[in-house]
Amino acid sequence: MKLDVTNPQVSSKWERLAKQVGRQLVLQFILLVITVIVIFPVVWIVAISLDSRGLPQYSELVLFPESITFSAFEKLLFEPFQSFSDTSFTQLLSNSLFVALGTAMLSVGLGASAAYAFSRFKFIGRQAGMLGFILLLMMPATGTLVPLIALFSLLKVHVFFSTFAPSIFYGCLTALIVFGINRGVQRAIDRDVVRDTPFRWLGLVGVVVLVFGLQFLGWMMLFRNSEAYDINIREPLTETNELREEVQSVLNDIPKVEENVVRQERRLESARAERDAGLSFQNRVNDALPGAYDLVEQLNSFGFNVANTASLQSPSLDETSQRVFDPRFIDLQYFNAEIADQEAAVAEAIAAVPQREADLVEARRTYDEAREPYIQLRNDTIGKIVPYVLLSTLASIIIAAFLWVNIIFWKIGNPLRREGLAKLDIKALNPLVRRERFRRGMILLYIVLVGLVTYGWFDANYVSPTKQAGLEGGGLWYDIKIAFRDADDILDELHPYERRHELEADVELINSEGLTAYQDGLQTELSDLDRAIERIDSTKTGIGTETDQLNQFRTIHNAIEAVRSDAEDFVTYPAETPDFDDWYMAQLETDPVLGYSEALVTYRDELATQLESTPDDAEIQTQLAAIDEAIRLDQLNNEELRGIYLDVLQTHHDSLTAELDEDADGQEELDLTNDAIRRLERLNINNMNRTARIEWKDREFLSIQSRLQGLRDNIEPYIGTTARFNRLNNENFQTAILEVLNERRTEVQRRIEFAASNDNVDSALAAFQTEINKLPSDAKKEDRLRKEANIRTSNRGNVSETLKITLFGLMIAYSSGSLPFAIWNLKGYFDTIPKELEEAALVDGAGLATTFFRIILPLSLPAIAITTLFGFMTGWTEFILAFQFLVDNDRSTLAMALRGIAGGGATQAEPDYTQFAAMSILMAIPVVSLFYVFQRWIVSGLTVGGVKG
Amino acid sequence: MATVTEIQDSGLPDEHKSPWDAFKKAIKESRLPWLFILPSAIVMAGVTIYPQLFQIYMAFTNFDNRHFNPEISPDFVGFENFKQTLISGIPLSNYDFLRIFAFNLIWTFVNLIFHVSIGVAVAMLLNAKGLLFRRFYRAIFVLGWAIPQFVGALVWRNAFSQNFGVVNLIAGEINQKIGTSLPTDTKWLTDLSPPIDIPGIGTPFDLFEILPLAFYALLIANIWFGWPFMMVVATGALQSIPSELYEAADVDGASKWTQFWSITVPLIRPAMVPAIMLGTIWTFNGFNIVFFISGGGPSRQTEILVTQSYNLLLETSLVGRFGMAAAFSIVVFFILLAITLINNRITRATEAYDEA
Repeated sequence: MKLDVTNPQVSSKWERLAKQVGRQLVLQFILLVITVIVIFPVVWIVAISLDSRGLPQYSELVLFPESITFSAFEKLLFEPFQSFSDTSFTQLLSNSLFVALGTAMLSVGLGASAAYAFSRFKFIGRQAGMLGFILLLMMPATGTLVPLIALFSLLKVHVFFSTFAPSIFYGCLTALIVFGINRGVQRAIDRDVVRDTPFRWLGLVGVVVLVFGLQFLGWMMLFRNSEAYDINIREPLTETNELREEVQSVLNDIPKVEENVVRQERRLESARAERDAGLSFQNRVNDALPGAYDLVEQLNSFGFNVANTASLQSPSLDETSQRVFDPRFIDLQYFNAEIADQEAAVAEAIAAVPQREADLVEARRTYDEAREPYIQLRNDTIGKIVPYVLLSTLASIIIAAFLWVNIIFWKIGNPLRREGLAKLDIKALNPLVRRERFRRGMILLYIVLVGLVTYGWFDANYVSPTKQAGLEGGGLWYDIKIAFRDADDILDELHPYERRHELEADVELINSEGLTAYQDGLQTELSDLDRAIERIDSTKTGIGTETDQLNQFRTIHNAIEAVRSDAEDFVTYPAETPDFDDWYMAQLETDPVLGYSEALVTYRDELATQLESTPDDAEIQTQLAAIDEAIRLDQLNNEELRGIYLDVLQTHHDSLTAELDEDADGQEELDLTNDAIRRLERLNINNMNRTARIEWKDREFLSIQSRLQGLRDNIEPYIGTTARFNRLNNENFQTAILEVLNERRTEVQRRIEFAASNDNVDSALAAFQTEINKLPSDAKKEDRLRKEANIRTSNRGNVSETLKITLFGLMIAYSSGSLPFAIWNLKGYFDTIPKELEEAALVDGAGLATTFFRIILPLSLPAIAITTLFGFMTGWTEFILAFQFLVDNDRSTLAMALRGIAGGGATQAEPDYTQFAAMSILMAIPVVSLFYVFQRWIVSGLTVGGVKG
Repeated sequence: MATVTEIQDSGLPDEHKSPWDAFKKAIKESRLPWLFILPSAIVMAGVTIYPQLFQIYMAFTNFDNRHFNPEISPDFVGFENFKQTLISGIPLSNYDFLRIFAFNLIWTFVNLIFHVSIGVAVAMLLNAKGLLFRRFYRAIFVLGWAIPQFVGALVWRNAFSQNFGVVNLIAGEINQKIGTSLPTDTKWLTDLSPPIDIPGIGTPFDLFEILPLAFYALLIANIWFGWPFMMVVATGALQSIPSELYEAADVDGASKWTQFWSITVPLIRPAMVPAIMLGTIWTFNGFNIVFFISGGGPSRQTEILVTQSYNLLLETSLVGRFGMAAAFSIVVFFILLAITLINNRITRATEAYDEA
């Protein structure tokens, strides 16, 4: 400062300017560095999500990818999440929105009134209550997790409620949005924005069309998310689409077949041409050779000594010439074989064409047949739903038109301003206030009618009856329930303890009524079971196509059976030699696969020794031959042999690859070899699994039980929501039930045979007693029952479900954190509003409610905004509770999905980075934009309200 | 009209009435406010208070998985669970209550130092006279606060990934450009060995032996999340300081350093103290950062009390000892209670405005 005074004016000016510019540059540099650090992770994530190269190949830092693609976003938005059994993004979004908005509304709605009481009244328990709220606010949410889970698992809500609550919510939300738009238009009219424009009516009509168009779209969206849509349209549509794809694939095959024919013919041609060329060359050589020999003879006669005359004079000139002149002659044989092959292939390919065409005709027929009922169903549903949506839209248009007439002609948009009255002129205001109240009543009516009644009615008319029908009887669903109950009972009977009791009962029955009555009873049960199996079989075809899963399951089942029967065959095979049988059984128990090979060899040795002593024994010779064959097959099955064969194939493969460079036709042979290698490798894996698979049967009871349990877990959630019925069908439950029934049938059959073999009552009873003694006694039963009780308590009931697994329950659980925060924050802010404002209003005759809604709430908008935002954020990003509470895939939240694709814990398993990045951005965008919109209010709300100094 | 008189009367002393009458009147007046509170109270009773009471009950029993079946009741074990919790008798590897508590305090303290110093420094930079693009910088700098912590924490966890994480990628990039040899495959979140190891001397500080690499990774992430809040609060406070004060100080010949300590610090303190207290609680309870980035690992080294409370629940559910988890939660609750009371003391938030 002092320097400025002494220096000349000009130089000081320039100096100051230079100093300022320098300072500015330094500041800008520092701030830019900070900016780079702050936005670096964000830029990284955005870059990854847009990078078209995709990860995980991406391991170098590229912040500005050269080519960008939105495929990651597309995949997220339009493809179902596989980790949540194909739940769509919209479903997750809708769940998250429901929970987040619900939490925000619940905490602000309840918190505002409590905060008002704490801020404005003096009453007993105020200090204690306030302190309690603050204490609760400071509690970590994780602390109460176990009790919350326990409590919410005990509370049951009716299924109707948990599906109806979101309906009401979305109905009200839609109505509120429409109401908001209406109100905006109304304000525009108030400000004479619309009225004075030349295209006033056009503008109004445009707004009306926009509003109700949106409304219509909203309903259509609600409808598309409804269960009625799922049952009647979406799932049949999916199935018909699958059928269409099948037909299409057959159609695509036809050109391939034709191509194949052409290709084969071409190869045939080329093979022929090559053979002809070889033949002509051979002929030429044959023609030329005598001349050459003559020449040699002549030369020799002239005294020249030409070597190799002996070989030239060999009798078979052809062979020699083949050896000496052209190696291609060796291939003549090959060419002939090749031509034969090609001819066969061409014939085969041509023969395949009509077959494929027949396939196509068949597929088309199936498609048409299958499609017809679906189209019918869809048309029926649309025929029912569209008039409904149109009607309800019409109804809301009438109600809204009433409102509009109210607004436009009665001019009560804003009575105070319109009439130019002083605010506190109560007498003059009275009629206006009455009219204003009337208007509000209309709005309320509008919301109630549009939101609650309309959508609720829709839900009640189109969804609930389906549920009720499913629950209370009739229909396929009912059949399945009965079948399940039967299966359950039978499974119980198969249980060792139950079996013991049953056998004891059998003994009693035989004692009291005789063996015949017992046998008759078993016969009756057998026929009952047969009927049950038949019934299930008929329901199986009731719904339509069987799925791939079912077929797959059958294939595996058959394969297992084949392996098993193989092993069993062998067990019965050497039955003539009892000693060996025992030894082999012991061997088989230790290692079935190894035992098999070893047993074969040992048995062969034994037979050979026997044959030495009695060389003429024909039977032993036959056995020996059979064993040799078995050994050969076994060795073929042997890993080592396969290894050698693999090596050979590999060598062939390599040579073919080398050949491929010269010959394009080698490709096919290479493919064949590759196929063979793959098949062999798979066979190797199968062989390794064989040991495990042989044990499979022994665990059958347990596996059936657990599978039934698993199916029940899958099915219980859907009981009462028949919407997922088609999916249910896909989970091969019928097979499991059938298996149980068949098991029971076998058991009964076995006992019939058992009883038949013991026609003497005493011996039958004795046999029964031995059987009973093998089974476990009741002593172990209690332990077992306790475990089962644990499993059962975790299941849902039939009609009602626990509060824990519903989104509504989650919403309530979230308020344990957000409600105390809302009360604390709002209370702090209410405290800063001068009490004089309220007192003035009270003096002017306003009631408590008026004061609260007209004075306190508008003034505390910042705090309301931030509380809402925090409530929303809690519901939007919370993971811990959601993860512990929600079990259904179609009731998961976005946060759960993000955590699911973010890679695994501290093990640092690499996630799919592009997907993760895209999902993070999608989840962050709403919160970040809300934050920036409310930023001013957040800062003031937090600092002024929350932590008032 | 009745409400008007009630509210106006409530402030007045009723000396001529007997204490019993006064009590009855108080009860009568309490009816309306309690009606306001009732909805919240019902929800809180169900969602918060009942679980808390249940938790206290669990803490004194050997409650485990079996006891979710209402027919089987747990046995009372007295203070055994608390004892096991405090003397680190919980059968978990690397569980040490005192170490976790100490780590939590260190974690909070170190974080707060960085948050406040960086926040105030940047706020002062942004408050510099004649700065261009001020609004742009303000908008960018709050990004760390605006991004939801859950999403941000998952992003940071992947940023610290060994093979594809941006932190290691940057190190590689720097190596390529400048030719240094920074390590490019650091296991930020799983490496147990101390980060700095000088041959012959070993690690320079004991601190590096106690705190694993994951602590510094967490620290970097949490500074990124935490400083914008302090910056925003400090900016608000700095803007309210009249510039005449600095001009007068300049005239008096006070150095910038003196100006900072004598003018800036005292004047922003009223705004900063509540913000720091809030930040203390947020960081002390900062579940999201620790749980989603390091998960408390490696070997429970970066566990703080709230994450340990949750992890205990998950891990002991294998053993099925919810009683111990409940006891731990109650211990944590008392620690938080102490902190809350201190906070309350400093900010006096419970005071109603008519008593202030």
